[in-house]
Amino acid sequence: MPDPIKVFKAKMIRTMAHNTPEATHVAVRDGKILAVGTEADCATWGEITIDTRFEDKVLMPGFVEAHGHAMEGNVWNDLFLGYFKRTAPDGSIEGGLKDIEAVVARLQAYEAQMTDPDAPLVAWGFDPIYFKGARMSRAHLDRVSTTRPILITHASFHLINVNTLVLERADMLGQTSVEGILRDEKGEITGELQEMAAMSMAARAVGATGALRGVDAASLRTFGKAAVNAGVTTSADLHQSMTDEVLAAYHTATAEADFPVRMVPALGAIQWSVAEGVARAKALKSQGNDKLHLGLVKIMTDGSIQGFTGRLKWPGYHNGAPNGLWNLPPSSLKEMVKAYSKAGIQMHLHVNGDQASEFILDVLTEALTESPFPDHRHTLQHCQMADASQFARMKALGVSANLFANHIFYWGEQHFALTMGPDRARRMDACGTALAHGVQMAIHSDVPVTPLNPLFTAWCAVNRITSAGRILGPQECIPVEAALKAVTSGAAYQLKLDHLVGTIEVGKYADFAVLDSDPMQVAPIDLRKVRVLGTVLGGDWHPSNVPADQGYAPDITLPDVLALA
Amino acid sequence: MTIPVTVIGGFLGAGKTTLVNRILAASRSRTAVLVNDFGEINVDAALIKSDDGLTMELSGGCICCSMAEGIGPAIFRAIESAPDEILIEASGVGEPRRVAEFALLDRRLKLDMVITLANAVALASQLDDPLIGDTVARQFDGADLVVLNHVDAASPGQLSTARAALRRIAPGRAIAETSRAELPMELLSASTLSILSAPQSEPVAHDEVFFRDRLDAAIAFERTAFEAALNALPPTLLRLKGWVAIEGETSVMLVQYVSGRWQMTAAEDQPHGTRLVAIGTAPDLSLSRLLGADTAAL
Ligand SMILES: [Zn+2]
Repeated sequence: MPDPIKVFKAKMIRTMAHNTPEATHVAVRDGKILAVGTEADCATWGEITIDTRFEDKVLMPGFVEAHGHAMEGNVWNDLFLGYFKRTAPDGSIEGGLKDIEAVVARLQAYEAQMTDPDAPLVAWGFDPIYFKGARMSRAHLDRVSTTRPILITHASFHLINVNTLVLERADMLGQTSVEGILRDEKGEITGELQEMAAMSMAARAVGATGALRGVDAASLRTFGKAAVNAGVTTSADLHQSMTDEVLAAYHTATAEADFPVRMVPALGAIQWSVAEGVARAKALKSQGNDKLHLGLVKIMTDGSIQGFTGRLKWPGYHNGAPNGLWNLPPSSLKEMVKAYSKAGIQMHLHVNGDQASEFILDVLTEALTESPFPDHRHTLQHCQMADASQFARMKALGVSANLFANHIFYWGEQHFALTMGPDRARRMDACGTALAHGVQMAIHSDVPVTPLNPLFTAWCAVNRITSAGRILGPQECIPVEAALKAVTSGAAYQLKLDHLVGTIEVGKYADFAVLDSDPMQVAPIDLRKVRVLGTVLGGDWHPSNVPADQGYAPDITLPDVLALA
Repeated sequence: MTIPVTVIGGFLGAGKTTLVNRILAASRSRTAVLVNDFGEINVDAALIKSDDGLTMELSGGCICCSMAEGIGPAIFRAIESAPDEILIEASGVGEPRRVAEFALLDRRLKLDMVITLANAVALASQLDDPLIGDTVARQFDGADLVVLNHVDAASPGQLSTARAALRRIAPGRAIAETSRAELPMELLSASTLSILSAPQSEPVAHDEVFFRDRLDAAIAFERTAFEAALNALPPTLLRLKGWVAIEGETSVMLVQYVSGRWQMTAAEDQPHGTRLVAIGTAPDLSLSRLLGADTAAL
């Protein structure tokens, strides 16, 4: 006699599948979905036992984050100082610091708890763009400590603040005429540093170089917690060195029975020569397991729009900033893209500005004409400025778009005022246009750039509300169902995992997001308030680390802004 | 001792690797080489003196997180190998000026020279290309020496538009024209005084690219006036080296000047008197006039 079949009963199961879109029962065998429908449908397979723990809950397919970074598992080793609240992987809420004094107070409290008197205080996510021109100086940080090095990375990653001790240790106080060391009107060194030289020197003086982006098994486990809290059961790690060391860390973590998320790391092509990268990506394809899916490649083309490093077409940046940066000469990028496509390797191409997305569409047209690659699923990542003409080309080429919907909330006001100007800002991350052109679309968080929370990402795409409460481009708003598809089956398609995850259908992994209410029933503006209680991965329950009486930020913690909407 | 750093920039195809190889071939010192351009090490392996870990490949760092990756850690590793010189080939889209900031900031380093190469055949069309024009133009910011390379392959029309373009985007900078980045070794030699063994300046040939001058005199300079003269040297004077007698000093001073940056330190065991050599890109290179030797005390 085989064991009885486990069946989860739920108040509602939103399968996101064309057939049987709604169900109440889902049967699981060997970690996979055996049946979905009614209790009777499940019982046709044999003896069943019904697990009722979700009977007053709603199940959805586990969310798929098709553009995140496992370094989320590292960044919380340091203190988060963001303007908006965020939930840490352990479930605690950090950030929400609304002025410089609040930032200083948080730093002081944190410093008081540190046990090793020599350890540096390293923080991230500091976002003074909301502080109406107020800037942090070393005087603020010297109030936190004069004996412990302090280094704070801004949310833009383009600036850091340090205390006087760091300037002394990096021997910067006597320096003149170095661009990276900023000064105030009186010529005093403020402790704000920019440009790679000054930032690297300060990081080195603090002993904080390089640790941020690598992954190890421990940081992957931490990432797993963040995924559970957000209802994510499959996540890309969309730029990895994929050295033997990284691969070993992935093998260790994903082999653990309680590791709660399927990982899809992409090899960062820029770190390899073309020939070696192609060979590496091919060799990796066969080295995965149920929770590790390998073979994707990431190609970086330009920088970021909020950092003024994205490559823009005419008329360029609204505030007159010079055009952005390429990671490689365009001719080298072209060579690289053609080589990977010819080798039959799917690429995820980072393109923020419209010049970058247009250039890559030109290159892909050439690559796919010379070496046809059926079902390539090459995907433009971020693709924030694409207009109808570019989406039309994507459709024609079979290229997908993974749009950065969270940008509308977090940087929409900056785009409106500084980077794009009103009209182009209104058509950024144009989910509506993408869908109208029939482009395969997903939406993403780029965690840790913005918080991992697909329901919040869907809320952004549905409502397009900025941090100031402005509805930015209502024409691009999409229906709730389309947004939910973009964080489930749409995202799974782009990772070439839609045969395994993304809907609740027979044969796929039994991966579910467990929700307290039905996202299709709440008002669209309340999508962010739907709570994730945990996930089921391969039939196993992983409860959220967020305390039941506390919210998950950002969702219920944005009342200040959303009162306006 | 600070380690001199040479930064070589320029867009793809300008001749950066040729120049790197040329420097390595001629160099007698232990040179750490940092090359960019994503893994395609084009540096001639035979030129690397030994397997002592002095050649480093820079992977393209993510622009968004430049603090965590990129060139910084490679430079710090290079310093640990205690080389005599560091030679950095910036990436084809990199800004040499930003790389040079490391050498200005780190007290273990000394910025020697920032050289940006331009491709005489392609420069004008590169500058007109909306994809790369601004990137190419920015690479000349902060260059001590602009090398207009591949002039032999350029048509007269290409050459004149390239020259005009450089006057526009690199005004006032020292410019030299070459075919295969053939820069004189005494110009590039950062860590030795080999410039002093260079031949006496010959009569200037018509198509000469570099000009040299030499000052040998038993005169002593007044310090303030001499320092002011150094600060006022034209940008076309690239390197000045040697010994100078300063009034009131018991020993002569060793002077090392590169493109506006200079150091003067006491030199033991050297004969008295002033002995200086210079190299630059302008023909009116008279050390005697530029340093005010005509009026200095005898
Ligand atoms: Zn990313």
